[in-house]
Amino acid sequence: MSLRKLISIWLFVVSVVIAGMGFWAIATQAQIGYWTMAGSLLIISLTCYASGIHHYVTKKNRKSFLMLFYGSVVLTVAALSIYIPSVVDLRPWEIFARIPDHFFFSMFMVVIGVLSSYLSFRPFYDYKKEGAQYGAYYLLHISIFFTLLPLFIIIFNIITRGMGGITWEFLTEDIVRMGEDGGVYPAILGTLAMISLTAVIVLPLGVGTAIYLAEYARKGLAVRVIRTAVNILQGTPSIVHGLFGYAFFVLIVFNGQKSLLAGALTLAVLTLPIVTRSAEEALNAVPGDLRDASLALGATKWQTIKKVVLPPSLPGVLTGTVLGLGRAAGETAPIMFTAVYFSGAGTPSSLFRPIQALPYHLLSLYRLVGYRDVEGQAWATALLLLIIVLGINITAIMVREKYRQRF
Amino acid sequence: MVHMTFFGIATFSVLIIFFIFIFLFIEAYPAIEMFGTDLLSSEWNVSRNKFGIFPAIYGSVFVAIGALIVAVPLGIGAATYLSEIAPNRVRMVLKPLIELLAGIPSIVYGFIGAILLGRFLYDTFGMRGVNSFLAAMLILGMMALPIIISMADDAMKAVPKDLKDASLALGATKWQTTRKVTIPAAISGISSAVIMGMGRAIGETMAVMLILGSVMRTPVPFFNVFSTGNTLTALIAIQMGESHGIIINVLFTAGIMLFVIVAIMSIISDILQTRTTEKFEGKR
Amino acid sequence: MIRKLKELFKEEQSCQRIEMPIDKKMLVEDLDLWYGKTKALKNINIELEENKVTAIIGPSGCGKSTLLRCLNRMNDTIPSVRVEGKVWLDGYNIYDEVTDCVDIRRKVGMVFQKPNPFPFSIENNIYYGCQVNGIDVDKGGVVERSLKQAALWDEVKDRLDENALSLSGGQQQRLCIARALAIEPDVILMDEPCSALDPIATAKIEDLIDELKEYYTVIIVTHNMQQAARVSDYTAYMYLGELIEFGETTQIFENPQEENTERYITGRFG
Ligand SMILES: Nc1ncnc2c1ncn2[C@@H]1O[C@H](COP(=O)(O)OP(=O)(O)O)[C@@H](O)[C@H]1O
Ligand SMILES: [Mg+2]
Repeated sequence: MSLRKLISIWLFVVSVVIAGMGFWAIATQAQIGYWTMAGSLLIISLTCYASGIHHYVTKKNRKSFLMLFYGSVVLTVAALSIYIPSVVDLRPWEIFARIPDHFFFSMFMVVIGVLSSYLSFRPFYDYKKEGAQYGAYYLLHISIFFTLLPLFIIIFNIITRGMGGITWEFLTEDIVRMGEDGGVYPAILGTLAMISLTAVIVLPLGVGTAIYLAEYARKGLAVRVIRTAVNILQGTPSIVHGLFGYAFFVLIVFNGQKSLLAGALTLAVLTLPIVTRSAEEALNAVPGDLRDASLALGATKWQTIKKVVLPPSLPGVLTGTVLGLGRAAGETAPIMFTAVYFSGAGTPSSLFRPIQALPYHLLSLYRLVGYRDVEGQAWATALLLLIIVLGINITAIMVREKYRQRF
Repeated sequence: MVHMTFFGIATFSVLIIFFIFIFLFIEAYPAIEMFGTDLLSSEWNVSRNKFGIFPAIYGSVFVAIGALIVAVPLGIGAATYLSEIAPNRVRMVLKPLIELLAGIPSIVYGFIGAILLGRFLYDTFGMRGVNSFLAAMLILGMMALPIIISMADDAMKAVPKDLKDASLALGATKWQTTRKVTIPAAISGISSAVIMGMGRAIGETMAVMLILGSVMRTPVPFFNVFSTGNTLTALIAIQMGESHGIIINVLFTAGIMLFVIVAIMSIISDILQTRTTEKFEGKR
Repeated sequence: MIRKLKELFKEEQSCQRIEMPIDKKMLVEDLDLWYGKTKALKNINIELEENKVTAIIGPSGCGKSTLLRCLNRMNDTIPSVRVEGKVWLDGYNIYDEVTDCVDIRRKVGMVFQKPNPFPFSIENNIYYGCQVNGIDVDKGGVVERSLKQAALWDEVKDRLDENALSLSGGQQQRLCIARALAIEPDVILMDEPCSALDPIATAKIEDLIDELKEYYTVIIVTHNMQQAARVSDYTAYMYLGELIEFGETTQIFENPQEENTERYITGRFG
């Protein structure tokens, strides 16, 4: 192994460690001192010099000046940061925040650490184009890591903080003392009733639309309009669905009364595009020759769809519906004006009476945090909601993966 | 006959779009008639009967831009990783994980964001309270990630393999191929992903309401990410439950704006996406 | 994992070398190839002559494209592929562990079955190869030279900044040839370059191949036997992953040694 590669690896390892330390310090609000930061940057910069000089001496490669230049930049940053005051107060600019110096120092460590580890691929690969490739791949790995990190942070926190609150009492009782005691039994039932009703309403509409688009439609204006409408509907903010549900279902259809049915209708509008799109995808996945074979045997179009196209695409259609319902189960905005009360609605008894639901329960508890002792209950509710919603999603995804390789 | 039945069902989506617009408009009309362009002013004062929603419009745009600054680099990076370099086994695990990320309810994001992230920023920067644009941008960025990733990934996967082969056969590395052929060829699909991500950020309600604090004022100076504020969505969500009379109509005006903005974004994104498919399917 | 790390730290050793027989550009030696578990190439041995056109013919699915793609390691882009054996280019084994497949592809250019220009302007299509290989040349010069070599210059010289997808199929294919020529490879591989084109465009490309052999070694896959007879100096006949017969084109077509070859050439074949 050559010295050149050793230096590059050293640079990589050191930079990653330093970036990690900086990240850790930001996350735990640990106070990085000036000398810790300056020392770290000094190590990086010296390594860069070593790499640049060694490379030039052995290979006469002018591209190695990059490392000398970069080393100097790092050194300058380290040296100049001594002038950073212990607290940068933004109040003179009417911004109510203070940035402490250790935040800057940790930030420098993260940024320079990542940059240096990225650059360390260049000398390792002799400044050839592979160096750029693996450097870029390294950054891409970092971005996927930071994409998934929040998922784990959220799930970890909710589980550790919510676990204790999930007791038998929590699952089987109604709210007591504004949520300080008691549980969410009516809310669980309310959420389940609501999404079941939503499923009943949305399934025929969504699948019907999909069948039209996938089986009957020719290319033309009608199809374009329908498709655009489905896309717009999919992008429409859930609060707008809530407003619509209130203005139409509550005010006009049900005389100003919030109800389970009004909520389910609103959620059906919300999930319609999701169901339509996945059902259409599932129908399109059925190979065309199957249809031709059936038609050639004298079956009508509708018989063909019913007997040949729908059965194999059923898992896909159902998966899409279930994914849509997972979304519906977690939505708050569409139901808050149309169907739910925080307390007092009790277990769902009629289509025309309001209900309690988990997402709205969580919202209401959050608003009470600080006034009443409900944070434990709030975490437990969040955990329960997450379990229900992710449970629905995971089931759907697993079913889909199982049936995916059919054709 | 059967054909017509299905056509009838399919027109439902179109009908709903019209219904949404019409019913929002009916409810909004009294406010529009009474205040006219005063609705766009920046003074919101219930006791003096002033209902300017400019702070909420600004907040919506500001928070969405911030969210994109977080989400676009990460999202496109992650999508590139998934579509271009992840081995099939890894991809099979990561794709569902990202779908799960999209499945987390927004109220949960909001709760976590306000409690964990809000308190964290409060401690780190010594702010006045836990609510801030900064926290909202970070959380909304996270929430926009899954949609950006999956759409951008689809766009890059749609670039025909012959194009990549042609580039490799000319001595380009895989990364050069990605950067100079795949991404430029997929650029309209990627832009459409970014627009949809922005639509998600603008339309997001519960999370932003809990994290931003829903205080009706424009940040000063205009880029002040440490300030509290409001968005169109949060304004509606908070005020609907607490208000009566003309305010409700004002909120419906805000709802119309939101609907129109996001609908326009959906249409643009849609056009861009069709253009990508046509580019590769029409020609070969 | 460990093996991968070891590979990383291995120092550059020099590549295996052999003396090439006179006039030969590439030698394929005992080449086997698997797609997953199915063996697609069986013990191929072939010598490719410099500045000549060699045609590979055979029924479809017999492994022509696969063999061609072995010559510039394009098969490395398919994850399930495993290759054993050696391919010598100017005395260097391109399947040697230390050889960089990116370098190989610079020296061995390729033209594909379907015209596949990048969705950029015509001149950027041509210049792309120079760009990614860091070849520092005058853009206008390269574009003009390559387009002239590919007999496309007169047709497009006034619209070099137009999108390449606006060209006709035949023009697109010649653009792809020009694009391959721009980085001055030694060998050009063509995989059924005319199968997506009409007869007039086909004739133009056949003329072009004839001119190209003055500067380049050309290897062309075709399932059109008249084409092979018209353009090639040598012909290889493959069947079910095996090389059945290889020789001068006139000999293969007029006096095939193997019965299998004769049946294929005379068209008495399924
Ligand atoms: N990517 C691939 N994966 C698996 N098998 C392949 C792949 N490409 C080709 N094959 C198989 O290898 C054999 C040879 O294919 P190919 O070289 O394309 O034939 P030709 O070009 O002569 O028509 C065929 O049986 C084909 O099915
Ligand atoms: Mg072939």
